[in-house]
Amino acid sequence: MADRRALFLTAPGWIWLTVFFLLPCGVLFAYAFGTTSYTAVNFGTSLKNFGDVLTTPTLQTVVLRSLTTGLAVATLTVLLAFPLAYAITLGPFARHATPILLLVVVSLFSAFIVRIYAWRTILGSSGVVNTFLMQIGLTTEPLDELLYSRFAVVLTLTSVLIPVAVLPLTAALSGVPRSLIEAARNMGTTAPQAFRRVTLPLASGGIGSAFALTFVVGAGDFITPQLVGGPSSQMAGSAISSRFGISFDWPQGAAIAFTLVAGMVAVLVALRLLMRAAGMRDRP
Amino acid sequence: MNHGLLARILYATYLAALFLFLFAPIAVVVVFAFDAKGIATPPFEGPTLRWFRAVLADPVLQQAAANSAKIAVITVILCILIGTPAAFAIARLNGRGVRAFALVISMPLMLPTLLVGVTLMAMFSSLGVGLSMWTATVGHVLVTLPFLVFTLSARITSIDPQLAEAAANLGATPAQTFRRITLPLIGSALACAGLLVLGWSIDEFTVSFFNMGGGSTLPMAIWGQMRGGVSPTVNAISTIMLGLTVFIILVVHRLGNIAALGGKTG
Repeated sequence: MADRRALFLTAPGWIWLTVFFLLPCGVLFAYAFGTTSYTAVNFGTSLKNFGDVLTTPTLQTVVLRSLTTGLAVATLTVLLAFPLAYAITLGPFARHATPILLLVVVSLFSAFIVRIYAWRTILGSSGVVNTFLMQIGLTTEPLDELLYSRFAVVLTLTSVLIPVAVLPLTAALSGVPRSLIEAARNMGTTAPQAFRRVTLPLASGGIGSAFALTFVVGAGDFITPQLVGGPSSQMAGSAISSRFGISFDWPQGAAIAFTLVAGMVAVLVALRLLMRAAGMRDRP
Repeated sequence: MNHGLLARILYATYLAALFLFLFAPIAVVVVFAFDAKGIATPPFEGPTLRWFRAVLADPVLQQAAANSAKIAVITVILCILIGTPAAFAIARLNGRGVRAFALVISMPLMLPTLLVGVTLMAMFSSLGVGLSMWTATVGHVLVTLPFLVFTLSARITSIDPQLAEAAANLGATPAQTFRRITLPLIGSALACAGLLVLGWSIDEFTVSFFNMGGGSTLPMAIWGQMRGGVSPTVNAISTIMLGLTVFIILVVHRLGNIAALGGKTG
């Protein structure tokens, strides 16, 4: 009975996801073993595309750069978002959580492309940041490396993704009972010890999801590198999008995509093992 | 726990700096949307509404805005039709099938959006389906559906199932129970989630970029103008889109569901 009801209720969703998500993923995976004549793409059984991704230095570089950029962005994002989430849950601004979260949500729902465009605008050689730096006399010439650099990509993605990290962190920290922290303090631990041994392990689930979410978006992005990155900060996303666009090499694009996803999964699994080894499990 | 004055000051300073980091770039764009020069470089040379008039008069942008609006409305309708029963299943029923469904439905959100856009485009093209507003809409539903389903199922979980049972015991048909009991209880959550999906869809770029074919949407128009060199109207389009976002969030807040997004707080 319950099974039939479940099937009935989930049927529209199953159909939609099967036709428009699972099936396309399968098609793309099949293309990864195919060939292109640059006017048409064909299915096949060749491992050449994956071999090319793993052996071509430029492709190796963009995939690795995606992963390291994603790691840098996720680390910065979680570190910067954590104090905010802490302040509105266990910290001194718990009673003002609603207006603060409202601002975070406004930022979260502001168009990704508008926020990236905004960074591109202020980092430009005659933009607000350079003008300000010259006016206060820190530099005499505009700093060109502010824009079209890896620095700009990491800075922009971090700013754009902080709201994404705030929500799971807030949810996790609001589930940490204050009484447990107080109990630890009463038993003689210092505040940092209580934070390290009680709060962090209890919030580790939320920290993990905040990190994973921002890592995946950061590593898989192709808009930011193209708009604020230079030629030496292009990531796998740009390579994938160009192969599905002008260069019409779907098989290689698919192979880059699946290599990137495999790399992401490997990084996240490794981090999970590291967290576990550091004693950051769900239970203290 | 007591928080000393020093701690309050430190946290307040930190929050101010963080919000500056989040909002200062956007604020610059908004301010220079009203600048006579048309590019966002200081100094500010005097207020004008010229760029907004140019945006409203541009037939290409009108078409893009109409496409964005159509896609967003259809996305919301499809999301609610597919997502509402799905949310009930996830909130009320258990079993391996439902758990597998919850996992699969959240996958488009756990993958880079680029890949969702590209896989969809590759499938449509290999089947000979022409890319259009409709193929883009399919992608919009994929990326917004998990958000709607999980916000809604959180709300449904918090409703006492005995309410619907009581109605049934008093002789209401399942349809009556849904219309008179369940729908009023989930109504505001449904409206909030629907509005947020609407805003998300209007802002969505990546999926449209690969699946629109020759058409354009507002975010795609911004992308196009940015790639095409100096274009003074980008600031104005961005400002209009930001204004819409703020409006939607305020309406959702009025309906009372913003805090639920961050779990139970305060």
